[in-house]
Amino acid sequence: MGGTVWREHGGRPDVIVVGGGVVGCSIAYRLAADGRRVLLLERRGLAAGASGRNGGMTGGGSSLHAASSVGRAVAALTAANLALLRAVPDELGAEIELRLPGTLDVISTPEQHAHLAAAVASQREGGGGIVLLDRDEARAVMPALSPAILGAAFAADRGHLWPFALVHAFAAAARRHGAELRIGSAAERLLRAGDRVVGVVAGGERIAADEVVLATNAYTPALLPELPPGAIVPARGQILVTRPLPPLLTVPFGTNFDKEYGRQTPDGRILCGGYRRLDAGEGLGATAERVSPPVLAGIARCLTGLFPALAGRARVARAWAGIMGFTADGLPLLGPYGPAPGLTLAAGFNGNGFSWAAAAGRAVADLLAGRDPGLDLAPFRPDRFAAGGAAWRNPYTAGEGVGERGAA
Amino acid sequence: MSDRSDARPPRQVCRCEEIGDDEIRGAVAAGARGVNDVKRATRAGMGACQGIYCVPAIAALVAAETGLPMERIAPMTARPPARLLPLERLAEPDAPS
Repeated sequence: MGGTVWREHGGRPDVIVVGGGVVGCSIAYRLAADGRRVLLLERRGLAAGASGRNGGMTGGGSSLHAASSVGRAVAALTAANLALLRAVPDELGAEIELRLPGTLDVISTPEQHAHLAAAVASQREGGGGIVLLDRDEARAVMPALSPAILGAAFAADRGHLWPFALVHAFAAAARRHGAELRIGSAAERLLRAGDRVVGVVAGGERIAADEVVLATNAYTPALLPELPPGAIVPARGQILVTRPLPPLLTVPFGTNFDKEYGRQTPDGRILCGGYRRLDAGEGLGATAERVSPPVLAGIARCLTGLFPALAGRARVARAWAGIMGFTADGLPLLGPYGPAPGLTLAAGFNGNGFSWAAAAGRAVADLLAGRDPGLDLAPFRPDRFAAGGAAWRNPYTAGEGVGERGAA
Repeated sequence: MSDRSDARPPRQVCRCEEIGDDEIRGAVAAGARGVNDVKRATRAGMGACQGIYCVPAIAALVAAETGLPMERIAPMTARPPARLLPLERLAEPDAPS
């Protein structure tokens, strides 16, 4: 079983998936399970990019997308993602340490309170499972929180998982279904026949296929130069992790509009990331996977400020940086790329890929099989940006330069 | 995989994360070609010692399993702060990192 039978018989792939992160591996799995002959090309290693460098947060919805057709599309897709994640242990026989106790978006300024009160009201109108808690209620959920906080928004159906495990679970499943995962093979450019994409050049080899899927997140513009400038922009995020501690963080947390975020892993380590606004240019455009002292200091202050019990106990074991793919409007590029038949994009997940990847894999497999994905993908059309360039109104970055406020 | 896998109990290679040579061989069988690949597949090297003790052994295992020479085995990425640092020390404005 498995292996790459189609290749041993001199066949060519039906579909080339570029990118061995969580999205690419999820897509490769669903396509291979559909009986497609899949070749996945990964330049560095499975989960070597953002998929192996993130904080492991996942969940439905987002406080930044209010009740609207876009908000509903985001909620439906991320809810579908959560259902698929819940099924992973049984479906793929993999332990991904999925925990969904809900999350707290902690409020520490009156401005955050005003914004979140409005966002919660709007989300509840849209049916989101989110409630505003006062300080005592928030501290009842997570007693380690500082008495100096003003409250928190509690969102059900959110939580965390072990990112490496999910990527490897999808990769192993793709292999079991006969996909070839070629590691260390960099896609250099797309093969074209007129407008149509008919394959990929990788390692100097021309590889033809019926369909090409780019799951290359921040690195997509290099392979698709005609993508309007600013549609996808690299964004550097930084994270630190402590040595294991006794249980303190009962649920994952965010603060300052979720720009800072953290969690305690099942084995006790506390991860925390954020403070991009202390990086040069908010980390936008940065492609070096390098940490910077001001950002790490900000993250450390965030932890000691919210959780006073960490002072004198928490020791930082490691810190790292990863490059996310941010988009001009904060929404991913997911679906067929109209101007180039044969090409499908699944990229630009704005630092939230684990809230999308499983559903994105199923949606792409449905689209390539001509099945109805049963989801409104219109807001994510990859060719929605004007050719001249995309106007930047990414809610995860807008206003980074004007203090703590961020979400519009 | 070779025939030795069942001949004896697994040997612990990464003590901090309690990863045995069997898990590392499994990661290589699944495509790992460097120490970072093994790390991402198994967590080996991510514990308190940050790979100081186990990385040479992991690299040797990858070399043995793949037949690649040791110098072709990519090392593990170095991560600051290199040794355990109190959180409140990192929070200081002039903190090392």
